[in-house]
Amino acid sequence: MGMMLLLLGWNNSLAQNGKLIFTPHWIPQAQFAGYYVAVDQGFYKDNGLDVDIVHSTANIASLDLLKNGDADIVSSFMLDAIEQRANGVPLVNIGQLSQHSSLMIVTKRKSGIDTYQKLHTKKLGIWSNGFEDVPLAFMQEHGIKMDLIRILQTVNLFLMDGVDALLVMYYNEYDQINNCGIDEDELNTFFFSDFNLDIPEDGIYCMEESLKSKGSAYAGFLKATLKGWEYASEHREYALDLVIGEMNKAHLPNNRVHQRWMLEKVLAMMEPGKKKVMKGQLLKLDFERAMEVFKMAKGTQGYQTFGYEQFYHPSAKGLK
Amino acid sequence: MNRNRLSFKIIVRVLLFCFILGGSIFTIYYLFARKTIERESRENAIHLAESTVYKIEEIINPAEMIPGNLAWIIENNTLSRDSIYAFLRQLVRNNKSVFAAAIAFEPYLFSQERYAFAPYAYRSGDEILNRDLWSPAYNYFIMDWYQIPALLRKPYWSEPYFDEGGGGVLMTTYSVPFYTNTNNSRVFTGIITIDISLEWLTEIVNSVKIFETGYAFLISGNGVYVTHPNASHIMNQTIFTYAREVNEPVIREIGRDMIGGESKLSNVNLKEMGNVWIYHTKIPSSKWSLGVVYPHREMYAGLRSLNIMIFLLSVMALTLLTIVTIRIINRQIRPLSRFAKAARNIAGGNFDIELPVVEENHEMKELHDSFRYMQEELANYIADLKETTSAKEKIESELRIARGIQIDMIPHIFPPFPNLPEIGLYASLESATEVGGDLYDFFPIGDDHFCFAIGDVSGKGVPASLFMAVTITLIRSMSDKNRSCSEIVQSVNKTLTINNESNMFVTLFVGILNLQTGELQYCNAGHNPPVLLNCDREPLMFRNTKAIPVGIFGEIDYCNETMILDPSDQIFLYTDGITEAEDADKNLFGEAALMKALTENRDKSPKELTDRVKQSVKEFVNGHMQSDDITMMCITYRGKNGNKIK
Amino acid sequence: MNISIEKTDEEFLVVISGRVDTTNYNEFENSIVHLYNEKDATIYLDCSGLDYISSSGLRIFLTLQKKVKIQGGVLKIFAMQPQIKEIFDISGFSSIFAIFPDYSAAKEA
Repeated sequence: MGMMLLLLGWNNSLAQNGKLIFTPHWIPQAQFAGYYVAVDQGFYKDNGLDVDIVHSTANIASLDLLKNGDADIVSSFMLDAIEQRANGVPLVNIGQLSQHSSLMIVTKRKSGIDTYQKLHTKKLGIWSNGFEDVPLAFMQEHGIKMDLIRILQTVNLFLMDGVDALLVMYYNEYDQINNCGIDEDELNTFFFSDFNLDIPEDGIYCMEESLKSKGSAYAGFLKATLKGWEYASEHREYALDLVIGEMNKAHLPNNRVHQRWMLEKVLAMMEPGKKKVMKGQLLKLDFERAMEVFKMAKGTQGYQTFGYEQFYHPSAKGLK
Repeated sequence: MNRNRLSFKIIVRVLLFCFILGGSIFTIYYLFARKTIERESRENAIHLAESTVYKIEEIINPAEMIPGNLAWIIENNTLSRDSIYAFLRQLVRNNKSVFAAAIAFEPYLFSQERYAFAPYAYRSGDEILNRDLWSPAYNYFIMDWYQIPALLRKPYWSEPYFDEGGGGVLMTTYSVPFYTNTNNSRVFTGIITIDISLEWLTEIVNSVKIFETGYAFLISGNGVYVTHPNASHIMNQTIFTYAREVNEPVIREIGRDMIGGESKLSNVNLKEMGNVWIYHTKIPSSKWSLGVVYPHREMYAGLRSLNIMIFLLSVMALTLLTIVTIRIINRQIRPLSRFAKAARNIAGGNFDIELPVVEENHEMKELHDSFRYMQEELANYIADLKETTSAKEKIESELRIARGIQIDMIPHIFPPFPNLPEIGLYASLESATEVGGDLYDFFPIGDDHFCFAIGDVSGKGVPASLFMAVTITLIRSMSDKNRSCSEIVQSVNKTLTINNESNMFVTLFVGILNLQTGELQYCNAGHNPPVLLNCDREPLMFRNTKAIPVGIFGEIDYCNETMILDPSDQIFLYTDGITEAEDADKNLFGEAALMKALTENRDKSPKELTDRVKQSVKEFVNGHMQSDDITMMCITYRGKNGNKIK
Repeated sequence: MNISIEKTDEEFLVVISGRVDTTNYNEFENSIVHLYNEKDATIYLDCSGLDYISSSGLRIFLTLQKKVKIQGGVLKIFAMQPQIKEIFDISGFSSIFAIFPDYSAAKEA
């Protein structure tokens, strides 16, 4: 908690110095490897940018930091960004890194819940902050009701059979469960991407305001970021070295095995696959589907509406 | 060392046997020792783990009691806010092992105005402070230490964590649900927790020493390393991520067994450490698991150095054994080579050589005595042989002389009478031994008569030759102008019969030829009938006369026969050495063969004819030893004055 | 050469077989030498197995004949093989010895 205060103060002073503060939307891990690589390899510098990566914590959303001006650019979960925008926060998506959903539900094989229908009336553990939109949409579309139990951040309740099912990220908690001794063949998996809910996740956001003044810089940022991810893909062990370094700096427990899995899956998610979209771009169809999901989950009461062009600004020039 | 030496052979075999025997004993001992060490190490591993768990439980168990007791107190009492804080502070103060304690209430169950209340007492340096855990930023309802025991309604040991407030100490929280009685029903009211530092736990586990590379480690319910000799593993790795990192699936299996709460001893082969025992057992209270790693390499290290020592000792012992055995054997069998030398000497003719004296060895003594005996016998034998040989040589030389004498007795110059043109003659005599019993003779009687004789004494060798000498002398002396053949034969017979105890006899043919008329008078006393040859006619054998040989009965009368020879008639005379000449298969040459040879050569001169017949016989016998004297005589009558010259 | 001598009450039967030549005539003589001293003996000599005889052997026969005669006995030879008979004929020995074709003929005479 004390760290957060430190972060905020530091951010304010720096924002005035012409630096770009970039805040990933979680604590340091391989999910952000591309950014670390881009800094370490000087890709941002090549684009005339002086970028600082400043992490948020588990309790504070990166979007809040964006709102408060403590960060210039943040990465965020798209549905969270949509919610913020629907609440009137004038943020825009200037780059979509993740093209696919890695959200999924897991159940233990011994629970016998092997079809999605059997999830009905069961307890689903989900995180305290965010990520409930997709499960809620799923429940609506498939006529399933699940008892949502909020969990702060661990998988332990699921491991101890305190909940029947758990909402997890394929690139993170799924592997954590394996690393606690549960074999893959002891789990049933339900990927939302298999249920027409392949909603892209991580993207880069900034405030609409700043886009006007720093638009070109942001274009450069995206370009350098994509280059960083490309480089990380080709030099995975090196990228992992950077990740481990960041985690150690933040006194976070880490091991290479888990971070390697995360890096692999995050890189896989960045591939367009069957979607007709280029790397770094947001597909309109995906956006519209995401909006659908949001409406299903949260309803429309009290929310602003907006369209694809308002949300997504590839006007960050140089994005061809 | 010469491969063939006896000592070498013995050594090699003895050594080989020692080797095999020693090897077998060693192997058995080694296997036995190994088994023993294995068993002891196994028991040691188990014992070590169990005693460590015991030590851990010693500390945990009392700590576990605390929340339970507290729950009981609360259940039966109503505490005010302040008293709760005081109570908690006291609790922490009184229990050294407790770092902090808290009572977290379910929503609105502490007081209806308060959504959440979680009084918390904790150590800070030497002081004990307190505060309320709850804040919007600290929603304890969704935290593991509250949520899990609340949902499961069971006590819960949390996963280990670093306490930031407490200076980064590794901690765990033990949570116990508590109830209150409201309206006569037991209502779940909240969670009581105590925070316990894991330093002491780390100390206990880390103090477990197993040789150099063995160690103990502790994992949490999720497999997270709570203690490990490699500090970087702690809290970072789970046993499962480690198994993936080093690509040893067997470790994952062990991890699963451990978090499953089993106690088990496994034999595992790790890439780095080699073969190890891993014994794991669970800590009953927290369900965490303790593992003990026992490296085989070191387990057997003591055994290994023992083995090396034994090996070196064995090598030394064997070497010593070899040297001593060689010495002993060599000493025992040294006489053998001396005997060999002596034997060589004896073979060289030196029969007086001193034999090596051997007393200590029975077998050697036997050898010595046999050698001595052989030596003496050899000397005697050689002496006898020398004597016999010289005697034999003497006899042989005398025989040679006798042969010379005998040959001289028989006319052997051919042609014998150049001044007798009426006669052509050739004779040959080959005795089977140095001296023989065949004889022939021829000489003129007066101017007109020619006498010839051929004979065969019974037997051969010296006896026959003596008789032959007598006979030939008698023939000569008995023949003069006035005697006929039969008279000659008779007188020879009479004389030979006297003093003839041995009953030697001579077959004899005597003939007298009138050179002018060609009339041949002859007397055959048991001899092979001669053959009459002429170019124009077939050979004709003389009639068989059936007179007995001379020398048997002195009173026998012998008769004359006569025939007329034409000029160029030849008479071929022979002894049975020809007809009875044997080849290797004991086939006899026979009369037929003789006649054949004579037929083929009847036109030849006496010498040529004789040679040809001799040749035939030689070819027939084909190298087989001559068993009897071979004598031939061929006489050609050339007619008066030798008109027909041959 | 094999010699066997059977004595019955009144006669001796000597059976000879094989060869008699210079190598073994001594042996032959040694076998029959004790007959030289038998008074008034009638000796039958079976020569059916006699294959060959040399002059040395003939000599022994002669000696036997003379000795038997001196002792007042008689020697009868029978069953000579043809080639042996021929030797005896050629050498005139046939007239010295009593030679018969077979045993019965010898017995009758």
